[in-house]
Amino acid sequence: MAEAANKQRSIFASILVPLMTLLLSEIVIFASILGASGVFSHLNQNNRDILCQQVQSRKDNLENYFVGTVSNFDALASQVNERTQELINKGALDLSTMDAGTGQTNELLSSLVDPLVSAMRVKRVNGAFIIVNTHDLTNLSESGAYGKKPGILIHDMDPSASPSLRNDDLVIKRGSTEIVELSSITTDIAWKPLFDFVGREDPGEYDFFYAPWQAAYETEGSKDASDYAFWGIAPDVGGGTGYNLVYSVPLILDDGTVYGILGVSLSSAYLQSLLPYAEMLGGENSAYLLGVVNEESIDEASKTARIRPIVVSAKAPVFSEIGSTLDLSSYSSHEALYKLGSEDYYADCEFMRLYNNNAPFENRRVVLAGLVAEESLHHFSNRVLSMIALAAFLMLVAGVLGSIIIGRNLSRPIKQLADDVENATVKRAEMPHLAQTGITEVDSLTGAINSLAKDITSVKQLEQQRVEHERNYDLLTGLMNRRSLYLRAEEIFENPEEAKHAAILFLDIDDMKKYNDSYGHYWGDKYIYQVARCFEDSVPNKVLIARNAGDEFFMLFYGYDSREEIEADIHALRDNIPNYTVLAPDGAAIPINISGGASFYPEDSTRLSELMKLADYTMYQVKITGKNNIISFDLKNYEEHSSVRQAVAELNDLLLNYRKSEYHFQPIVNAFTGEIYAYEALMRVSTEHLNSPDDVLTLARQEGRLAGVEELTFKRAFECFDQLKHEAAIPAGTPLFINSFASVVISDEVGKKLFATYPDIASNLVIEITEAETMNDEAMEAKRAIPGFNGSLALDDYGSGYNSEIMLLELKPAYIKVDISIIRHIDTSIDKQRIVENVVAYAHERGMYIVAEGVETAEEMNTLMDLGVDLLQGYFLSRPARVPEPVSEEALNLIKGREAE
Amino acid sequence: MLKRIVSFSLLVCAAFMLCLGGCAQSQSAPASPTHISVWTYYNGDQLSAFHHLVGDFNSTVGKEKGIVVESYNLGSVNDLQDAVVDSINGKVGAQPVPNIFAAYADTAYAIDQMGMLADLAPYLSEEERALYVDGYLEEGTLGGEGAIKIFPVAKSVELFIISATDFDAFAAETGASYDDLATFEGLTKTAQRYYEWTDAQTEAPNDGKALFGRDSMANYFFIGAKQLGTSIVEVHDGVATLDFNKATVRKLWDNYYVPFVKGYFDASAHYRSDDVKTGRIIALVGSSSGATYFPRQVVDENGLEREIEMKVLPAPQFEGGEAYAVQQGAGMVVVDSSPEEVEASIEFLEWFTSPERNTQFSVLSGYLPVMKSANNMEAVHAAFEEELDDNMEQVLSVGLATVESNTLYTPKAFEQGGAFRAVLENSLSSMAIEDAAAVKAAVAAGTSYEEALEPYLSDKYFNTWYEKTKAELEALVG
Repeated sequence: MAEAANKQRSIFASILVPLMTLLLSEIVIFASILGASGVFSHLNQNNRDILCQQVQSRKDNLENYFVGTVSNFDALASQVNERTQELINKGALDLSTMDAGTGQTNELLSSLVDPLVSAMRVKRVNGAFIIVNTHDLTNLSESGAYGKKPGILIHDMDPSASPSLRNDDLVIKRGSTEIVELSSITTDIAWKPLFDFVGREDPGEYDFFYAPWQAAYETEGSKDASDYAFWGIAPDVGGGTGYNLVYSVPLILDDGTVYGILGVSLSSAYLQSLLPYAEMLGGENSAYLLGVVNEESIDEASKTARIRPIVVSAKAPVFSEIGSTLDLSSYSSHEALYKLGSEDYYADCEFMRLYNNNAPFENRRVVLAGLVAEESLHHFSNRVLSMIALAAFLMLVAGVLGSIIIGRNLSRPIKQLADDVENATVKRAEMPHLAQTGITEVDSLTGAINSLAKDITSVKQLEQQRVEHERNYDLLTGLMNRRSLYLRAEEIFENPEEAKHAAILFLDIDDMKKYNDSYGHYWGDKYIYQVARCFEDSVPNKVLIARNAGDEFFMLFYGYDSREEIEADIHALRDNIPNYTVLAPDGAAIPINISGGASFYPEDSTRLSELMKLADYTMYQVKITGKNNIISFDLKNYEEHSSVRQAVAELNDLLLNYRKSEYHFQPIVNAFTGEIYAYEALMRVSTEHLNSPDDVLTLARQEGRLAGVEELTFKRAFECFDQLKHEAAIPAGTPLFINSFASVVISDEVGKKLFATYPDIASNLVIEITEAETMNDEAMEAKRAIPGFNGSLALDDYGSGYNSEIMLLELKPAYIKVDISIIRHIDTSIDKQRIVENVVAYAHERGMYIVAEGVETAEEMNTLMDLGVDLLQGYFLSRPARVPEPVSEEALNLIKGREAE
Repeated sequence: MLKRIVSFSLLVCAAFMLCLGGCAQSQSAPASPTHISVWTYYNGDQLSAFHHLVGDFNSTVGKEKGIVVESYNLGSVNDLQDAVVDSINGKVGAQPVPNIFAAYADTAYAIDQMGMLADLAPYLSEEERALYVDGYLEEGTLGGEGAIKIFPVAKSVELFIISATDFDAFAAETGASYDDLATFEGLTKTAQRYYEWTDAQTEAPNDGKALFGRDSMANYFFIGAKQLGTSIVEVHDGVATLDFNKATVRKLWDNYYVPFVKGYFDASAHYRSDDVKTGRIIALVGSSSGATYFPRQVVDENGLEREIEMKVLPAPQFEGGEAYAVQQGAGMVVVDSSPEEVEASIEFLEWFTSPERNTQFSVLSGYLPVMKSANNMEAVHAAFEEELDDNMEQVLSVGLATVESNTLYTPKAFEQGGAFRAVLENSLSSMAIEDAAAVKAAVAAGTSYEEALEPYLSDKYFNTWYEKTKAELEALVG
């Protein structure tokens, strides 16, 4: 589990990676869309637009105040003119001298204090003034030294405060002593009786006086006074350093005489209060600038303007850097950029329309500029941007945290599950019931595991039952197997009460090999199955039936009261069997032929093994006496056939003491040179009941002792051959042919030891496989694979059995020994010759040698030599002997005779 | 499972956004500050000094404690009182009632009678009270038991200010001395000498110039009477008793009305400082807080200017009289409103009257500090880094000396105190102005100076005025 987790990914990572990827891609998409859509430049533009609107609305507001309230002078002007005209008519005023000194105008001006004050109150302005002048000023305009002029200037420091009924909030800045004494308004600290226009560095500062007056004078007052109206800038009267916005109109009598100007002023401090700079987008970081622009200082072509500021309304110290002029290097649709300190300022300039069309000063402008630091202007969009960035960052953090929390919440129950399962595995305990996690999907999994565990448990039980069944029952037939029958039988025989009279019946299907060969093993199995059914049907239920192996069966009859009852049942069985046939693939109804032998308890023996042996013996008797019968053990017969048993005992003895056997050797002669090519080892036995190798082989085959005989053959033949070599009867390196059973193999252990002991023999060993034996691929492979074996194989008795060609193909021997039945009288049989001719051709093509065995006459030998046989063996050449004789003279002569030819 | 992840993520994001929103909000809008409106009658230097200090407060303590003080100038003391009354009465077009306004005792009394003033006593500990110059806080009790309704902010005394340039020239020729000006009697005599001296300067007869004028006639009555051993009005528990002592009043008459009609004293323009400026007089008695208005130049009819230097002397006293000086100047009163606003108002006023700031304000405006510790020149100098203007130095040192060497007096407030004061302010002075003009006109018409004067100098004339005025005053005390 832990290893798997290392190779794979944790739940945390499984959530984090895709979630982060998702988030990041969303952020990238979001950012690209924001970037591509130009939202921020739009926002910035919006901010500029908003600023423009703010400045414009403030401008409109001021403009309305200026035009509607401040400059609405007609009534006052006509009041002044009427009063003046009245005094002129009375003779109290002389137009040519009235502007010299204070004397003449005192009466006029004193009477105008109250109208001026009420105009100030209504207009809420800082100052109201009248300046009397009746003389051309042109010549003085260069220096601005217009001299002393009588007049009156009343000042209100704070026009926004509610007016004092006693005029306590007003001061007289200019006005004669008489006016002062009559007015009950206190004097300003810088009070003076006369206006004194001394020369100024910038005579333009007196334009508020000069410009409208002169314009009216020059046109002889032909227009309305308001058409000469002038918006200008004037220094503080009374030595202050500030500037005022001044609105002035000429005073014109009906006859066109221009005798002074009337005006009001707005101080920079008061204007400041009308310009709440913080209302703009930049807040504290912005400024309003109210100024005037002369006609000369506007260049429409290059979009430059020089503004003369009256007031800068701002808090930030940087705006104090705005000097006496503000140069807007370039402006278009009111917008301009301005550099203050190290920062860029965005300026929106709104020009007021204060003059009538075609008025003399139409081109002068009063301008309101809103200045905001670029950074403050874009504060909002910058803030949005930083908030978005922050949000993105927090989303990522939240993603990580979320992944951790989700991962933990998910992995905890899953880990718990895993631990539960692991514990169960370690403790080999029953699968535990896994707890619910509260997560639907995980719980489905848990449920599945729980039910799977339940299933596995029942499967295990079934499996156990199955294994148990397999241990006790035969898979193919469903009958008991030998083991379980033995166990049961022993149980029964140990308990005579239960056994009473009992019998072991040994049964063997006749000709099973034939059927297998004819119809194949698959059908053979079906046949055996049907036999089993036949048995079951043919005996009482309590009889135990078992399949021993292959085509052999046991039956245990027990609990009978007498032997006769058992025999009756056995007979019933015997009689019932012929009723059964099995349908062969070719449609033939195959009868069931059974050979069987029974032994009885307690009559024949009370021991199971003994009873088994006796039953087996009895069955064997049937087999050798014609098959297809079931008989009972007959002691008399058993004793009669003790010779067979004797022979078996002798075989057993022989196998236990293999040196009691003797091996003779027969030369195999080279058909071209007459030299001895090899020897074949041939068994020589001589006991009471076993007289020939055939006896031994037959009995060994019957007794299942072929492996023992094989081992004996190898051991004894090697020993004897080695002895011969030691006796120098044969030259070293001569090949030895040994007969071997195709179906058995000596054990690896024996082979290894033998080949190690006699390496010289082993390396020249030729194992003859007799074709009479059923070919067994596995055994053949095992033979080739005997450790230490590096000799060759020979196919023995070629032509005697069946499937010789198949054997040849499968075995691929180095030698083919043609059977004696082919060799016998070959000189007279064209067919035999043809066979040998064919096999020789076949062998030679493949580098195999042909050995002809059982050569007994010169004719045969000649014919064989004619046919090209390589090696010859037989009595004609040399008989087998413990110490073999040389090749007969006759045979040698034959070979030499052919050689000479 | 994806749904869970997504909804969880959304939740987390939402939470963060909310938090951010909250943070942003708390950054831009702190707890809404308490706005305090202050109405004053300050003008000129006083107003700018006050504005300056209010700005300081708003950007420091106010910012810290969430108090924003907005100051409004309402014209004169009388304008302010009218506006306050209008506001309290909810007159159409009136402004909202202020939290704090500057008021003399009379105004405060009137407003207090309407039940609109907050008692400041609970906010002032014994230690704090001990910091104020004796008598300053008492004036604010308005006769109530233990309550303090007026917060003393700045006080003024009366000073004698004279154009030294003009007087020195006169003194050099006549032997007059500043010492002569220490008493009313001396002042009257010196004024006569000045008139005669200036008359002699021109060929025209009886065109002498006035030496002196004074701003507050009520103070002349109140303080003059005190110096002469009487109190024109005594107030006990809000009940006023009139003592319009004829002998005392006669002495006051003789030292104002008589020299006035004779042309030795004058009062033409709005304030006497205006008269100095126009050259009509060369000396005045005025409030120390008005001293800044004393002109530097005198401008004649034709606009010709000449520089003058001012000299500050203690206000004259009656010969042999008790050393009494007026102490005046509006304190600040707090209008009873929500506890937060009252507390914020107190906060501001305590800050404003702390010795250092109080001294700054005083010095910039010609007032005198209210704290004992600030009432000496060392403290004044300590409060300023720059050296004081010479005129201001004179004003303050003489002012402080006046506080030091006199019993300070201010009439206690009573219901008709304002009207009572107005009678004193106008009854003698306006008659003097009219009569002086009549004398002048008569002289101009050819009547001899002495003849023209005669009807105004009789006892009968005095008695007529005395009885008339007494009746007016009695009606108010009633």
